[in-house]
Amino acid sequence: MDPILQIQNLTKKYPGVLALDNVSFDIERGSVHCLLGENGAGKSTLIKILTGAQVRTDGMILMNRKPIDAHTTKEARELGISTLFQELNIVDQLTVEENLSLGMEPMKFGFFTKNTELERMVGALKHMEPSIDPKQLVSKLSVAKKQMVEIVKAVETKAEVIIMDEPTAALSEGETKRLFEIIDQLKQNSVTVIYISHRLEEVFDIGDSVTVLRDGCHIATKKISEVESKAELIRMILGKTVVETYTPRAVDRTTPFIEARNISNDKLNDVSFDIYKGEIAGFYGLVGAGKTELANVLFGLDAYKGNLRINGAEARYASASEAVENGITLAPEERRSQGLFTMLSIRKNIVSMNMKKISKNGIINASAIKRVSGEYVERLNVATDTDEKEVGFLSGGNQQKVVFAKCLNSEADIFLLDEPTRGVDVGAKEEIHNIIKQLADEGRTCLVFSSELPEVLSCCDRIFLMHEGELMTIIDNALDIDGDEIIHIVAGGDA
Amino acid sequence: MDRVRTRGVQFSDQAQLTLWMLGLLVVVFVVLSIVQPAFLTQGNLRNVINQNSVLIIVSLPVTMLMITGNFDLSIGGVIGMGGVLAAWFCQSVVQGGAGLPYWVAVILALLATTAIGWLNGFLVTRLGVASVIATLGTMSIARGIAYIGASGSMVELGLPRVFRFFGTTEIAGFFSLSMIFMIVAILVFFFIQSQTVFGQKIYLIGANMKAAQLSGVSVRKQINTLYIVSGFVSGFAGILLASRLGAGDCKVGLEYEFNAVVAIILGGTSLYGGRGSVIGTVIGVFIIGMIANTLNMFGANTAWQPIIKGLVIVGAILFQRYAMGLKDRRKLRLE
Amino acid sequence: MNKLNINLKEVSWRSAVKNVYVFGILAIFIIVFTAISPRFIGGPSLAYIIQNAAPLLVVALPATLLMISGNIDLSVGSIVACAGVIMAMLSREGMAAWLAVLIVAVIGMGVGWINGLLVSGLKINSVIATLVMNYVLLGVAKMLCGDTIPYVKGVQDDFSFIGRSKIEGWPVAIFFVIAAIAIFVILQKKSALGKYSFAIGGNRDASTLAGLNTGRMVWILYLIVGIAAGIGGCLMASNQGIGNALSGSGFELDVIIAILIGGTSWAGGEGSVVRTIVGVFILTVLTIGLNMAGVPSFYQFIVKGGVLIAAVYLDKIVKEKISA
Repeated sequence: MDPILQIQNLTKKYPGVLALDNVSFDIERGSVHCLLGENGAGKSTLIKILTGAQVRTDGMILMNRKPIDAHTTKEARELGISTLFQELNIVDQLTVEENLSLGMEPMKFGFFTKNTELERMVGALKHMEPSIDPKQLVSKLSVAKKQMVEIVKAVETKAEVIIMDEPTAALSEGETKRLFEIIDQLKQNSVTVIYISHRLEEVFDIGDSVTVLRDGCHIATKKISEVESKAELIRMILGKTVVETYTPRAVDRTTPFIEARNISNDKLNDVSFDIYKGEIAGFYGLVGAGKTELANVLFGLDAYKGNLRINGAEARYASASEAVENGITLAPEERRSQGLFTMLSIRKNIVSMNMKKISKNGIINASAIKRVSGEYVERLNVATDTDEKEVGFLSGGNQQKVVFAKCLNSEADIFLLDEPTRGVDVGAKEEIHNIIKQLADEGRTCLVFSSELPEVLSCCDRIFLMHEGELMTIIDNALDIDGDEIIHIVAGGDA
Repeated sequence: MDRVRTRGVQFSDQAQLTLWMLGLLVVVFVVLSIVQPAFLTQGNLRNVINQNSVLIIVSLPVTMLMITGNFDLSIGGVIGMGGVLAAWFCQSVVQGGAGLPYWVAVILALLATTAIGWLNGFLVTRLGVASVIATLGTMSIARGIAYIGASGSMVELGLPRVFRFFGTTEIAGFFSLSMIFMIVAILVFFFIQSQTVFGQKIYLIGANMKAAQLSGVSVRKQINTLYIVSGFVSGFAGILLASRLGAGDCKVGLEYEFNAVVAIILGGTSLYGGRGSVIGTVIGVFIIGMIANTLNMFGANTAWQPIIKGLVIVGAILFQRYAMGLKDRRKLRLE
Repeated sequence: MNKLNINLKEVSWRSAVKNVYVFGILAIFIIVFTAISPRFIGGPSLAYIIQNAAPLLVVALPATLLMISGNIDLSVGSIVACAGVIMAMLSREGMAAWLAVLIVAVIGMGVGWINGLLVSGLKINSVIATLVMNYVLLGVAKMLCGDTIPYVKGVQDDFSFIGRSKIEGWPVAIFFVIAAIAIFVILQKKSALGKYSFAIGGNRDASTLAGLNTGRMVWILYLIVGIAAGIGGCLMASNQGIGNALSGSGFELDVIIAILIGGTSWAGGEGSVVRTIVGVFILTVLTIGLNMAGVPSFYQFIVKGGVLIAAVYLDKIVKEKISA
C-alpha cells in the first residue's frame, strides 16, 4: 500500500450544515479512485478542499506523506493536483498548441522562442488522439477533445493526481470509451485519478477502489474487486433505511391539470405526462437527466416542440414574466445566483414575485409589504430577528425558505421546485417537505425536481423517472417501493 | 454593528451610505463657510443651487440606469440636441428656422430626444450592444444633430420672446424656474424610487438580473423605459439651458455625462448595480458644486476642476469599496 | 485524414470571409466616393490619406490589443490633446521636434501607467477609470493652453515635419504608420503579450490558472496605449501646425469605431490588428470623402455614430452567419 493522498479527519462546516464530518481515507498511487454519493453527500466539498477552492474547517490532507494546504486552484496544480472541471479551464479563442503551452512558453525579450517542450506535448496529444490538429482553434473541438487537451496539459505539467468531475456527463458512448482508454494509460504512468460520476457501471468499468460518502460522512472505502454488486453500492449510497414516511394522499385524477405531449428540444426527448391538480409530482433522475430543462420549458424559459396544456389552455410562454402571470412559479436550482437578491432585505425578496399584492396603481404600500413579509417569515419559520436583514446573511436553509416565501406569495397554482432542499440541513429539509405537502393540500400543484431519492420518496405522490432527457416511467409512490429498482432505471437500465 | 440603530429604526447599507455622504456634505458646507465667508451668503447659495439644478435633473434618471447596471453616456449630446432643436423649431422662417409656436417646438424637441432614448434602449436590450458603446454612438448622433441644427454654432436670432421664459422667470424673488423643476424632479424621482413598483424593480434588476427575470420582472421593458425617460429628461434639460442662454447652442451639455457619473458615484451608487439612490446623487452634485464654487471664488483656474473631480471620484470608489468590504468580512464571520 | 482536410479547408474559408469583408467595405466606400465626387480618386493623394490616418492608426493598433484583452481606454482622446499641446509648448520654447516627441511619449507612458494602476492595481472598472481620466486630462490640456484660447501657437519650423512634410515625395508620417503596423502586427502574432491578450480576454480564469500574471499584462497594455497616444497626439498636432486642447474630442470614439469595424469583439478574446488597419482607413476615407463631397463637417458626428452602431450590428450578423 503506497498512498499518494491521505485524508485524515477532514471536516467542513457551512452555516447550519456539516458538509464533511470527520472523513478519513487513503488514495493509492496509480489507482483510479471513484468517489460516490448523492448530491449533497459531500463529494463536491471534498473536491473543493483538495483543489484549494475551499478551506477546510478541521483535519489534514497528506500528499506523499507530507501535509499540504492549497489555498487556490493554482497552488493545488503546482502541488501536482490537477482538476478536470465540468466548466473546462481552456481558452476557446486560442489554438490547441497555444493552450497546451499557455503560461509555460520559453521566451526572450517578450518573444516566444522555440518551444521544445511543445513538441513533446503535441506528440503526447497526437499519441492520445491523432485527429486533433494542434493548429486548430479549441472552440472548434468537441467537449471530449477539449478534455483530452486538458488531460495532456495536466500530465505534461507533472500532475500526480487528476480529479475528474463527471467527465462523461457530456460525452457520447464512443467518446466515453476513448476516455477510459486514456485513464488506463494514465494509470500505467502511475498517475492517480479521482473519478466522480453518477453512473455506477462506470465505476465497475474503470475503478480500482471506491469511496462512498453520505450526508457528509465517510461510509466505506473498498476495492472494487471486493464489491459484490451494483446493489451493494446503491445501498451504501442511499443508506439502509430507504423507507421514508410517505402517507398516501387522495388526489382527484379525473381531469389532468398539466398535459404534456411529446415535449422535445435539444435536451429533452419526447416527454409526455399528465399531472393532476393538488398533486405532488417528483421528477427524479441523475444530474443531466433533463429535470431542470423540463422546468425551464414549463416556465417559458426554453423553446420546445410538442404540446403543453395547463388547465385546458395551451401554455407556450415567451418569458418568465408571462409564466408568472399565468400562475406558475419557480424555485430555481441555483438559489443564490438565480433565486434570491442576496444584497436586498428578506422583506424585498419575499414580495418580489408579486408586486400587485402590495401595490395599488403601481404605488407600493409599505405596511402591506411589512404585513405580507411578516406573515411568511412566521409561517415558514425563517430564523431571523428582523425581516429587514439582508438575505446574504442567512443560512442555506433559511435562504431557501425565503425563496419559498417568495414563490408562495406569488399565489401561483403551479409550483416548480428545482432541488428544493439542496444544501439545506436535515431539520430545514423536513420543514420544507411539510410546506410542500401543505401547498398540495391547499390544491396547488407541485412539481419537485430532485436528484435525491429520499426526497421524492418522502413527499411525492408519483415519481417520474428521467434519464438523459427521456421520461422512463412513472410510478405511484408507496411504502413498498424498491429503491434499487429506481436507481437501476435512472442509471439507464431497462424499466 | 452591521446596522446603525437609532430609536429602533434600522438603516440599510444604502441609507447608511447616503447618511455618510450627507455627513460629508455638512462637513464640506461648514468648512467652506469658514474658509470663504463669501460662500455663506444667500446670493451665493442660491447661485450654487441654481447652477447645479440642471445637472441634478439629468442625473436622476441616469442614477436609476446605473442602479440597473447600465450607463448612459449620451445625455450631454442629447442636452445639446434638445436645446438646439427647440430653438430651431420656433426660430422665424426668415432666420432659417421652422417658425412654429414655442410650445410645438418644445414638444417636437422632446419627441426627438425621447427617440434617442428609445434608440439607446433598443440597442442595449434588443441588439445586446454594451451600454457604453451604444450610448457613445448615440451621443455622437445627438451631438451631430445639434451641430446641424445650429449650423455649427448657435440658433439665437429670430426667437420668440417666450423662448426665454423658462430661463428668466423667477418666483418669490428667489426661485428660478429650473430650481422649481429641480425640486419637482427630485420629488418625483424619489417617489418613483421609494414608493412605486417600478422603483422596486430597478433594484431587483440591479441586485440580480437573472433572479429578477425568473421572478417575472420584464427586464427589457424596464431598462427601455429608463432610457426613454433619460432621453426625455435630458432633452428637457437642454431646453432649460437654451432658454437660460437665450439661444440654442450646439456645444451646450459637454461633459454633463462625466459630471453626472461623478455625482452618482459620489452619492453611493454602485458601479455594478443594485445599490444607489437619487438622494445620494443630489448630495453628490452639491458636494462637487460647492467645492467648485468656492474654488472659483478663490480665483482658481477652472481647468483644475476636472482634476479635483477625478481625484474625488477615485477616492469615493475606494472608500465605498472599503466600507462594503468591511461588511462582507462581517458577513463571512457570521458564517 | 481526408475528413480532417475538408474541415480545415472549411475553417480557413470561413475565416477568410471574416477577414475579407472589411476590405470589401473599404472598396465600396472608395467606389461610392469616386462616384459622388470624381475628384476623389485623383484628388486626395495617398500621402494625404496617410497623413490624416496616421494619428488614428498609431493609437488604434495598440488599443486593439487592449480591447482583445477585454479592456477599454476612453482616455486616448485627451492624451492625444495633451500630447499635442505639450509638444507645441516645448517647440515654442525652442526644443527640437524629435526630442519633444520623445518627451511626450514618456509622458504618455506615465498616463498609461496611471490608467493601468486604476484598472489593474485598484481594480476599478475600466470604463469608469478611463472615462474619468479622459476628462481630467482634457482639463489639463485646457489648463496648459490657458483658459480662453485652447491653442498653443508660435512653434518652431520643424514642428510640422513629422505630420506634414515629405521626403522625396514620401510623407514622413508614413514611417510612423509603417513602424506602428510592423510593431503591432508582430506584437500580436509573435509576442507573448499579443498571445496572452487573447488568452486573458478569452478566459481570464483559465489564464490565471495557467500562471499568467493577467493584471500585469493589462497594465503593460495600458502603458503601450499611453505611449502610442502620446506619439499620435504629436502626429496630429504636427499635421495641424498647432497644439490644440480640443483636437482630441471624439478621438476615442474614432478609435473604438475603427477597432469595431475591424470585427474585434467588444467583450474581448477575438480580434485582429490587421483588420483594425482596414478599419482606420475606412474611417479616414469616409471622413475625407465626406469633406470632398462638400458635406459639412458636423454631419460626421451622425455618420460616425451610425457607423459605430452599424459596425457592431454587422459584426453580430457576420458572426452568426459564420458560426451557423
